[in-house]
Amino acid sequence: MKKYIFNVFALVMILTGCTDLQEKIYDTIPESKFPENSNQTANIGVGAYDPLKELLDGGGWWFCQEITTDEMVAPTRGLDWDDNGKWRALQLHSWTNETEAVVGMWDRYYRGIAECNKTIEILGGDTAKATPASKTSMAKFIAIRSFYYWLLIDNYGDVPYVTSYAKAEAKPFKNKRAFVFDNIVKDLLWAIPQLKSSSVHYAVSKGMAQMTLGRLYLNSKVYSGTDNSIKAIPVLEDLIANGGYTLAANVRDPFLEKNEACAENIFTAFFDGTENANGKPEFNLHMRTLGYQSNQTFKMSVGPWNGFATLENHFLSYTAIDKRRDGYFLYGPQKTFEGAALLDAETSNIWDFTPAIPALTMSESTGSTKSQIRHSGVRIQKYEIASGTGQSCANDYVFFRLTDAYLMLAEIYASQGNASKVQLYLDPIRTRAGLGSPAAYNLNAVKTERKMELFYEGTRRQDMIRWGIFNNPWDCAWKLQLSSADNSLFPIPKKQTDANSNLSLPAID
Amino acid sequence: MKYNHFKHKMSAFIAALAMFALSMTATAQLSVSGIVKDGKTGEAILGASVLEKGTNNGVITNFEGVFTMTVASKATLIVRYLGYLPEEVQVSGKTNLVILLKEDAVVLSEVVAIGYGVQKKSDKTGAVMNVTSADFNSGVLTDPIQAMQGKASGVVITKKGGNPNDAFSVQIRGAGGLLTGSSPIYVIDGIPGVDPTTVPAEDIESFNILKDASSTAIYGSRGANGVIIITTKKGSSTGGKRTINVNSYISMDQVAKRLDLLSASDIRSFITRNNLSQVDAGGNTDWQNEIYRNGFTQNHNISIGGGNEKSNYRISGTWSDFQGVVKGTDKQRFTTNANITQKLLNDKLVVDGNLSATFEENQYQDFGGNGPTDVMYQAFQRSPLQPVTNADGTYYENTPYGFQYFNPVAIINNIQNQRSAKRIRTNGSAQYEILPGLKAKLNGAYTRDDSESFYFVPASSPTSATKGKGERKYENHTTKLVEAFINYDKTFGVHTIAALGGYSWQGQTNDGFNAFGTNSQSTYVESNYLAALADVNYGSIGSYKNEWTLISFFARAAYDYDKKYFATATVRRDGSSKFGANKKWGIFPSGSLAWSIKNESFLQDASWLDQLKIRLGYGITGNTEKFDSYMSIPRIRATGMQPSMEDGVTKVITFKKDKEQNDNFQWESTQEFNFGLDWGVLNSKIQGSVELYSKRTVQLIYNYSIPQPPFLADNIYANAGTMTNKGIEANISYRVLTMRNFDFKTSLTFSHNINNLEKLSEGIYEWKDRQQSFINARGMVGQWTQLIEVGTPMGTWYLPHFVDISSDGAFRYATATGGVTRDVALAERRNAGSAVPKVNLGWSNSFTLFKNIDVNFTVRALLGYKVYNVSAMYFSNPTLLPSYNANQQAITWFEKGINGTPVASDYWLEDGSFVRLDNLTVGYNFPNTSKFGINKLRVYFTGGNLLTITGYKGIDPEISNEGMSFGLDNFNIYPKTRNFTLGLQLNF
Repeated sequence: MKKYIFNVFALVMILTGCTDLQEKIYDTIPESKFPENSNQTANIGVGAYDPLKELLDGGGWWFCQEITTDEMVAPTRGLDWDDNGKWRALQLHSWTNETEAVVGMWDRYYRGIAECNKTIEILGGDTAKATPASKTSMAKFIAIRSFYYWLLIDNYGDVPYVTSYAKAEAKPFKNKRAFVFDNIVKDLLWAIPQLKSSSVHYAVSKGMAQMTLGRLYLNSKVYSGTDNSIKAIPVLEDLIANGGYTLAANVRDPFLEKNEACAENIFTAFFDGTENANGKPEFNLHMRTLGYQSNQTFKMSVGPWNGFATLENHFLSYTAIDKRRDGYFLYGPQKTFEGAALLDAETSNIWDFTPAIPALTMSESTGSTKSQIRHSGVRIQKYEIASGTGQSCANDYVFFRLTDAYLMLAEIYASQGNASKVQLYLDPIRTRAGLGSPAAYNLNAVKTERKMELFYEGTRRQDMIRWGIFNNPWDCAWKLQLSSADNSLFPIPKKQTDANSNLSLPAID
Repeated sequence: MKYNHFKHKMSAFIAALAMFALSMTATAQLSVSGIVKDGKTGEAILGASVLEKGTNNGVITNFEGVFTMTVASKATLIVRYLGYLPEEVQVSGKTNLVILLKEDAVVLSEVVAIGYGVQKKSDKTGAVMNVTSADFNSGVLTDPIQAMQGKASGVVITKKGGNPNDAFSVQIRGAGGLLTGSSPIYVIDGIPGVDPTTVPAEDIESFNILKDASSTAIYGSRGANGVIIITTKKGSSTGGKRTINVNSYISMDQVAKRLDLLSASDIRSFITRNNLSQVDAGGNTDWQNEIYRNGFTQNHNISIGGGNEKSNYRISGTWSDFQGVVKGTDKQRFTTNANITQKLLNDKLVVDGNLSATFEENQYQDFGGNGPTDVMYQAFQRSPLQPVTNADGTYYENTPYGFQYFNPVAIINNIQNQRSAKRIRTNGSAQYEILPGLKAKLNGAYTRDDSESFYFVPASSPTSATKGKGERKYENHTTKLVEAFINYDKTFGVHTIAALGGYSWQGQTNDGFNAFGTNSQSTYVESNYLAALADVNYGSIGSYKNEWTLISFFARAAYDYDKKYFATATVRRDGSSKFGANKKWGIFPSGSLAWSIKNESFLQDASWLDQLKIRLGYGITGNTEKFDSYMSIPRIRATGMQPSMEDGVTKVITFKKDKEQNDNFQWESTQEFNFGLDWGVLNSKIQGSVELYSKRTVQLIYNYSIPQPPFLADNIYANAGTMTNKGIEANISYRVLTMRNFDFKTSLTFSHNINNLEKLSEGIYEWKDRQQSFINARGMVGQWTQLIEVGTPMGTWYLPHFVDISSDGAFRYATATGGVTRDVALAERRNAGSAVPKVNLGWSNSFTLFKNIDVNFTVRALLGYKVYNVSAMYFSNPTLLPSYNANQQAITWFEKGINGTPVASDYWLEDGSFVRLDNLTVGYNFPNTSKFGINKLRVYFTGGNLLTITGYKGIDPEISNEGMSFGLDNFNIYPKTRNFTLGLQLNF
């Protein structure tokens, strides 16, 4: 009988696979099996683009470039937009290493960089030994990586420069900003000849790499201590002459819902409006700026959040004849889609977006009226809000467009005193906006034009730092004091210094 | 919504079951009667079984201990009652018998389930408690675990709010880990990992709670949070006669406490007084009235059981219908359970089979925060000036009025949110006695847990940003278990040994499927017909499948010498597929000793002392239950679809690695010492036990942020932290009075636990602290209230300290340097107390009057903890007025010019301590029912949550200490209910 029992035991153990603890994966692809086919191989690096979409919202980059400047503000409106002061901290330059937007950027940049490094290694890794075809592929990922590194040194200064996935150190040290700058310039100079122009604007192209290099040179004094902006001239003039891009006819063309094909756009992030339903990163700046009832103006399927506005002085710098005033902004009494007056559901007053914002924190018990709280501040419709738009826009977000190349060249020539070149690059933009010649074709004229034209496009912080005015007070009710010069850089997020204490040590070359 | 049909079917089924039972009533020929009494006290014993030997003919004694039955004139009767030795009586023609039973000292001390076996309670060496059905709470039990709430020391059973669809939180000896949760593992009739809600309380014989590691180590990698062994009722093998039990109750539930908010007239007079402009829609609505209702609950259980020396069976059916006090929250459940045991081969082979099926229908409302469909928040914030409906009967919405502001009544009535679950558990075992004392057992089980969900928002609902949504979801879980083990029990003179050795294999497969679409073109079809949804995009269809396997070898040896010295050792070797390639296997040993001092000769004469025993145990256990599969290995997931980077047209799915690989990912390991003392004096009139424990959990698992660079994924699951829990538990019961007409028993349970985080980082896994418990309210995003860091317990509030309100109306906070500031960013964050109660108390009382009236009440208290009242913070905001509803404080502050969005500080912390009269039951047993063939007929009335004494001002202070974030009252406390239950128990 005992024997029988032991046989049963043995049988049980055999039947049940005894000690097999292999963890079989059913519903995702195991790392060892990826890529399975040529299609997956061809698209292996697409993940490198993913963080770009997040830069607009959760990733914090856009907030850090715009809400920290004199062109955009997120005031506290009664109940809304206090959010523990995270918006105030950006506007007043009192952010810390735990401010949400400051924390968010780092993750996105380095995730993109790691994806690029991994893809480059899958493609062979060594640019010197690569075949022409794989050189082009590698160049694409080197260009995106450079784009992320450019944003890293632009926002954080000294950062670890890591170019390998397989051989990366567990706890890297920071490299000096100038060292990283030199290396990404070198990378881009290698990549540009390998790259081709592309009609797919959300993909890397030669033009995208040239624009990145152009911006690096334009800001080279800030990044490396030496002004090499003049080196941007041949790069950008080649782009204008041979890139196949043309200036759009109307100020808003690059920002329409269907802006994929707009020949002015050089580098964009792809959105199709289904992001909200599918839990993907959204392009929802329109939700943040439009009034609670602006959905009735645009026939949107959802009520917006009534937040972001432009500062009064910025709005007032556009004259009545400037086509960008109506093109970019939503101001004055609002109407429904059908044309009736849009009445505030709380007060029955007409929704009227007035330029003046009385305070950074508005509430009735501190003397703001309900209409001021809800209506004040001119809102932004630079990106078209098409009828039926939901929580995420279907417009592609524009990182680089040809107008920016014109303005960069105008700025570099202006600092050399070359007024005719300034005129060459400024006039097409002013003409398109319905304006005549400026008082003079000098640096001031370029700065004004750049501020007005590229409003809302994530360049303002960088421009203000380059021009040395980022820490100034600006003409409004709240940013009255000079902020510390340290504020031209964001601190490395605490989450990162906690996870890698080497990031708190001085940078190396 | 649509369950009436289901209800009718269930009622018919129960009626049929009852008819079947009645038809089985037996008949006989010659009549005897008698009385069964306690041989010592002479008290009548009710419920004793009287069986005619060698037949199935038997009865149960009635209230007076009297039985009447018809037997053969030369028959022998066997009389049995729990706690007494069986007595055999020759009838020999006598028709009137007096039968005296002797107490069985061994049986009286009961047995406790200890995992893969039982042990006499007096022999236990670990911290094991049991709660049997006689001590269960009565009244509305939405979850069977509620039956033992407050009854076992150190088992903290709590529930945030009163939603019938929410589960109870059960925590034994403090927080289990960071990600692991604290829930113990349930072992139901030998199957580990079964959801206890699939067993109706009426079908449960006992709960056995294994608390310390020396007891739970036999469950190895699953034992760290404690083990609750649930034993279900079996058919009686001694009564010889079938018995039918009916347990029914109906109950009315009310909202126990509402949030105190303003009325329409309060707001109108406020507007006039302050000369404000506000659109007045002319309503006069109490929105809480609109979403609350009185809930009607009913529960019916019927069981039929019987058997003889060779076989027994029990079949039961339970139908429950819970109506939540928030409209649109319902739960219906039908459970059926059938059990049969058969002895074969001269009683050497015992075969047991069990089949249980549970069908559940749920209807949900969202109430978890401040989202567009969170009905409680929407009702709280909604202006009383607004009506529920327009003149034409449509819902008054007036959207968009403000950020996520929607009519809660419309949400309840228009949004479909349902679930339907089917759960089947089947298990069988065969035990063979090879030699006297040597038994081998083979155990197999198969459980299947399937559910379907239905979700639909019509296009007309303003809550939807996607013009409506319809979704269907299926989830299936299949678990298989095979176990084989051998028990050997033997006594040689003064030496007793009990040994166990076995093997277990358990595997689970989970799979699911969901599909949704937006832009709904038909409201009529709801989610029943997804073809009516116009937009189906990439990502709208999902599916998953995963599995895990757990393989174990285990052994236990228990020895005692002369019932004075006891020793137990166990070891389990577990292998789990969930862990890293290098760490699949773990060994979990334990050892414990006990000394029964009372049984020493020097205490033999101390007649006042019945029991005195000390116990000492140590063990190592692990925790796997809460972890998903594949946490150690990276998986490549699809992250989205977009047109190709090359041509801008071809659709491309992008894939991304979700996390980094960790081959060293392994168990959290808990080392625990336990010291216990059991005592009883004065004929066990007063008895109790005390446990002291010290637990140390190492290799705590956390999802570590890893530096980018160099890692691609920003996280990895790794073991690095250490957490400790130390505490004391005590219980005492006192049989105060045992008089003929008055019996009074009271018992008290107490526990206190101290938690500490000792370490969070190791090697490359660095982690300094983490902000936790973020407030979730409109315009208040990003305000945190707790900090997880080394040296502090979980649940520690870490907040700016409120000093005063300045003369011009600003909140002022203390700074680190002893000053005062208005800028909360400059204030010092301080340890402001804990969300974990210092003391947990349960107090149960049982009175019996004149033998047929029983009164029971249970009081439960959680003392010494703080709750952060976000609801008060949010609704005190003057900025809400006059557009939204608020509380009186908001008016006061508005009129004083105190302003601004409230900021997180200790101002909003409140003492959560409460004492609750959980349960008061008065029952009446009808006497002399036996002449109608009824053994027992009891009716009872229960009041649930009749009284709560607390200083807490919100809806309810009871919180569950689950996970890393707890203690916030963030408009997400479903109202606790007060309920009145009328019940019937019938045995015939």
